[in-house]
Amino acid sequence: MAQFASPIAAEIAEIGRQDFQRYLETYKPIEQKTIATLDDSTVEASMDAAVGDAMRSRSALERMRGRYGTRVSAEQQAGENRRNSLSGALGVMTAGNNALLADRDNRNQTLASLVNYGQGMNDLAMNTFNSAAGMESARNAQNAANYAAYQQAKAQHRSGLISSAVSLGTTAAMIMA
Amino acid sequence: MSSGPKKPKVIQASAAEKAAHKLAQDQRRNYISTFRPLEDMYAAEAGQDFTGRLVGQTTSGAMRASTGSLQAAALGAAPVDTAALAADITRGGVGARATARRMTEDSLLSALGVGNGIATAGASSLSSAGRYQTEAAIANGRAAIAKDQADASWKEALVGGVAGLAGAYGTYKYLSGAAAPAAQAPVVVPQMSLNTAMSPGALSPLDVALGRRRQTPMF
Repeated sequence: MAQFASPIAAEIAEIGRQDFQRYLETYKPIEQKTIATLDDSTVEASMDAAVGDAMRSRSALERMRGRYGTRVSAEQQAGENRRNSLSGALGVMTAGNNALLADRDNRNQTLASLVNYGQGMNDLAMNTFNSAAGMESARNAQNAANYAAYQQAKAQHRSGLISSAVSLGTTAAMIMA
Repeated sequence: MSSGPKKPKVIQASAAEKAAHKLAQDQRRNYISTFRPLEDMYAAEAGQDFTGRLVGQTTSGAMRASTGSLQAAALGAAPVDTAALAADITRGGVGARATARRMTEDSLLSALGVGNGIATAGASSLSSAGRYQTEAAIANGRAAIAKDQADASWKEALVGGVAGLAGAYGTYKYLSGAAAPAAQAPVVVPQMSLNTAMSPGALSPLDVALGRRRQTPMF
């Protein structure tokens, strides 16, 4: 019996498989990498930087005073140290808080994008499911129709055989009589 | 006399179908050779960390901007709050870190957009291919059923024909066998009553009906 092949459909299927394989190999790791960024934090680096920046500024001032020959009294120095200490602590806290807020903003943006991306993936999956279910439904409908046709043909065949047997039997009886 | 059904011609691909197929193959090859490497490059570069570069650039700029203030303060004898001056530098660094993080994550998300497009195209291709192949399988199944029905119909016709011929032969035999005794009937009845041990009254109705053929004259 003639079987009609569909080579272009097979080609499309192969392309689809290749594309999906490429997505898995190349882009799935990026998904994981992007999700991992949600745990990133710049708070510690920012607070460390605040401490370092304050120390460097202090060192720069000391170098400049030495270069310019400026002198401060011990009392002034004590006051300056106290003020710098408080400002430095405030600067570290400010840096930490600002970094925290910036992180949260970034995290929310990334999270929102990932959620949208995930919904797109889910939509895609459901569309593919729908497509597969449509194929299954069409196949089942055809299988049911084929089965019904088979049953009908079988009944018709049996009926024909019985009819023929009766006819042959009658003929045989007539000949024997 | 009627001729049998003609074998259907296989529907050949139209010129447009062939052209569309060829065009699709060419476009696919062009995409693979030209744009896929760019996509791969984009994916490879996604997620690069620019924190060091951006923070260095921002803080060095802020340092340069604060140098004048620091110089003026160093020349004076008043106490200087260097930590407050450093806060501007730190603020710049915090902003730079946030910007760098945003750049990294945006580049990852953009790459994911490309990946999503590829996955969508793949799924769409598989769905289409599945639909076409299911339709083809269904059509092939229908063709198989039609062939089976035709075969069964042919066999039934053959058996029916044989039975018909046999019936016709039987009828012929019956009629030709019944013709001769019918002509002898007026003669046979007295012979039977005279030459057999069985009287007509002992015969069953079936024997009476068929008796003339079943009773072979003894002479």
